Amino acid sequence: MSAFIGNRNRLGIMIFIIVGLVLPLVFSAMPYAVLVCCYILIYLIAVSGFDVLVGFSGQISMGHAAYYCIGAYGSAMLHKYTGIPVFFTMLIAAVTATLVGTLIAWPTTKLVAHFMSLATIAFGNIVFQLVNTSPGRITGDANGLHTTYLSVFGYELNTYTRFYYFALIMVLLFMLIKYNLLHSRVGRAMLAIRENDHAANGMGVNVRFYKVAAFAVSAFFAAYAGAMFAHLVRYISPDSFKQTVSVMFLTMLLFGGTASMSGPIIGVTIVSLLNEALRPASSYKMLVYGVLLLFVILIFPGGILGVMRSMKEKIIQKRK
Amino acid sequence: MRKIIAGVLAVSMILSMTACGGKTTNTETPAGTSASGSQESKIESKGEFILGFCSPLSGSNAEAGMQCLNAVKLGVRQINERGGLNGQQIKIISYDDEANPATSLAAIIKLSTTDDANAIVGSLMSSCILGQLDTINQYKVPVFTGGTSPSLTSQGSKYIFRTTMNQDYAMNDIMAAYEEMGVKTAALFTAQDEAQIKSGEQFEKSCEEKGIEVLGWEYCMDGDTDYTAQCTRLMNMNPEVIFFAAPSQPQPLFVKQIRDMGYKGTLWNKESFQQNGIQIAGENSNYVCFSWPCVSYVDANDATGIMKDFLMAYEAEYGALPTSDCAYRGYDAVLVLEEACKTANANDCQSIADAIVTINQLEALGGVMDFTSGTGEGYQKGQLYYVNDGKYNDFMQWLRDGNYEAFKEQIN
Amino acid sequence: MLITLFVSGIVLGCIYGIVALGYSLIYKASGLMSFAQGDLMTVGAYLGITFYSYMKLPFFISIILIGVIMFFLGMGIERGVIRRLRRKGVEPIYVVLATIAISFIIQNGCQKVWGPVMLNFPSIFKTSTIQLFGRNFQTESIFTVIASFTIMAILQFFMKKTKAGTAMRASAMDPIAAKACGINVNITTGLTWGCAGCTAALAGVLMGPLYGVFSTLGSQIGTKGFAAAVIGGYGNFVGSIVGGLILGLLETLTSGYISSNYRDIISYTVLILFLFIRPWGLFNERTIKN
Repeated sequence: MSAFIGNRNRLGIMIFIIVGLVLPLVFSAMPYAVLVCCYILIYLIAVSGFDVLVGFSGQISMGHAAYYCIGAYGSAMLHKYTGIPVFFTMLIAAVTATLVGTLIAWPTTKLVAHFMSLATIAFGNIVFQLVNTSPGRITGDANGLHTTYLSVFGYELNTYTRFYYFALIMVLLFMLIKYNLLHSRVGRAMLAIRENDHAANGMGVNVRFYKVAAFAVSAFFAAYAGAMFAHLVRYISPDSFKQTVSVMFLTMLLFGGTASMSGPIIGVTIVSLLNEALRPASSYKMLVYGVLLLFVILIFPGGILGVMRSMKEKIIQKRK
Repeated sequence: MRKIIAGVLAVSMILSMTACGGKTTNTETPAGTSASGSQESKIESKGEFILGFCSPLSGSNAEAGMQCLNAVKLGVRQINERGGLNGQQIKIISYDDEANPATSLAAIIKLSTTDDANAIVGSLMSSCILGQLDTINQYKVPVFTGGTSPSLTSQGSKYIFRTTMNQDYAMNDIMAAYEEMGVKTAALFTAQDEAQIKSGEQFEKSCEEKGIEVLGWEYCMDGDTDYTAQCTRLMNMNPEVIFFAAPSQPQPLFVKQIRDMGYKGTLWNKESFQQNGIQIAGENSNYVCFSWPCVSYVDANDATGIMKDFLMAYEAEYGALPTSDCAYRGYDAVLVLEEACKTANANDCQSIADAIVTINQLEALGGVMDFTSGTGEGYQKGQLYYVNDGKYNDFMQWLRDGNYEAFKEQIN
Repeated sequence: MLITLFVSGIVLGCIYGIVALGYSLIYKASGLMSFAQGDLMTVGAYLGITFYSYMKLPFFISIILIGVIMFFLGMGIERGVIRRLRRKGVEPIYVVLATIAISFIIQNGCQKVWGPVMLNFPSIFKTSTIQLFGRNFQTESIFTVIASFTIMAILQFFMKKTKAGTAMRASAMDPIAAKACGINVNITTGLTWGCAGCTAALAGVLMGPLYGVFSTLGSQIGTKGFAAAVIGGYGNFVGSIVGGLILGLLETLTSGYISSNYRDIISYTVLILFLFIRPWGLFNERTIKN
């Protein structure tokens, strides 16, 4: 790993890890703040995976909450009906979501951008409906499902602080996976596809395969995040997986900046903070989301990262 | 470079959180065990009484949530003018939970810990409260709820208090009416959320016990506005009565559509059929019946006593009468709170919770509230009404005057 | 029972059809997809209540006012948002996202301006219900059927047979070539979005009396409208109505004979199947590659 990461990036990673470790200690008197940090870490995993799909392979999914949902319900239901320990049900659920994602991705990647968004919206809605009115009420339908804590090697994660550290480790793990993926042949192939898939095809890149792979990876990330969510709050219901969640992921990604490691970090953090800051102003939240999204699209299409990159370029140009 | 920025952002996040977070002496404890006992210091350490509020303020349930908040604000203002609770002025901290259980959970946790609430007017959505049960029991802050589902109090929590009627109690009244009417067949139509489905299940069960045949159960989804298929099937079943349980938006739509389809029998709502709905359904709302402690008004002068005072004050403050029953639920919560604090002569969470259980003769908007059963239920029975010409009329009186036979003749 | 379901399916289908017409219009004339159509319908309904019910203006004046306002709203969105994005040369998906953002803003904005309470839209016609096949139908629902076919015919004629319509189609297919021919692409695109706004307004005014007016009135129907457009052929006007009818009938008949629970699942599955297997719809509308 050290062969790939330059010195500046190493410093950044150090800071990230140290801050991550220290946060719960700072917030030890405010369990609510630790909970919010847990949410941030969960969303970070989901959005990082989403970035692989949108930022790196240039596709779109507007119903990504579906995989988040499959992960959450998959893990909760599996544990409830078979008793398999949560640690494993989370993985199984994530793998299941990946398989579903691959299946859906195969025909979806053929579509033009706006049809792809329609197809993914439709898929998101279908998953939501299935969970809301399941055959035989296995998902609990609108009543939702109660579930238990995650236990790692016998150690029960029953406080927010304990869960936080587990989540932190998972975030680092997933970021590592993403990093290695992107700096490998797979990643380069995806970037080539994003720029011009015809040319990539001409150069011998199996476009279809990599596009589907991007879907699969993002589904895995989102589903595992969903499973983590389920065992953090321990009560899930269809209301937590509506279309608005998909839009939130998209907002977080676009706001931070696509095709990067730190873009999702920036996006998730800021949007989550915004969520918290807007809690008292309650009923204006959706309005602010919409305005923010519009703003980002119109004025900063590259997100914050894009702004920083162009500022850096301007500075470099001025120096010349 | 970018990683450094990310790190800086994280640091600024810490700073901003510390800045806007409050000070609290609760240390984090494993969920499920009791929180540290620093409750008494709340009165000395801060000069005001914090009343939390958490309900949907956006989305399709916004009407209910916002009017509930308005009523709570009104009640709080009145109490503050009278001197507050045991000398403390009340401050409201409100959050929009978007009817999303995960958001609602976060809001409750924040209110219980960072915001240091003495009491909370909790979510109107039963599904949100269900997700919070463990948390409420852990932090022991008394929560008033306007949710109607029986599952909220059936878990035996000592900190949840209902300021509306348990929908199962309404069912008892309805079944008593059916018995006198001699109803033989019924059908139902419900939406797909927890409270409505529970209501349907209770209806089915009660009908079975009374020997009434349930011919069918139709569902509608959230966001649906067209019920043609369901109404057609209901018409084919030809039931003597139809029971429906749905949120406030679908109610008048269903009434309109089933009547347009030609149904002339009595329609039974799980809760009060509001004036708003009567307006939208028009003439079709005749012979919609229900049992509930309160009804809605188009003119404050139609009400009496404490309800009239409330309506006039609400209209003066907000320019219009409330259209949702949830406004009454919020105001009743404040009334119960005031009474509890007076009885307990203290403002801390545990004292309030203990005092509420002793209340047995509190005059509230829906009648007399009695919490002594210890289950958290305040209202034990409602009043049976039927709608005619835009007005609410006494159903039992109509029935006892022998009108149902004539009514049945007319529809056949 | 079949007849009642059938008629209801047709009415519902025509509502989907009108929405799909708006989508097809925008696509035919600018090659873009707009997620804000459904919510523009909501605005139309709210404006309808404001002019017709609150201000008690006669219906014709209300309709003209609404039409004008929505026309400029549609044009405004195009000019303020869409055009800027196209000029920047961003990928088309960002335009779609921008319309989603606008949809959010409209929904929440409506709630703030008109309040969260569901409002009553009084009947437009003097006879509020018509008796057909043994049950009462609201006059507005019958009118919706008539209106949708009329608009479809008008749009079809306009696009195929008039010079202006042909100009619009040309600017969508190849803006550069169109400009070379002297067509003012900006104006035609703006006009199109304006007309789509009007279509949405009309749909909203018809739906208000049927379903009451609330801020999420248009969003569910808006998404189904996409399905209707795809089934018929995205961009094809006749296809939009036919697709709408098919969808409406499918939904109503499924709810009637199978179960109302799986109605949405079936609608969305049909949409996905069409997208995967036959994205050019029933009327063979080739997609415009950007």
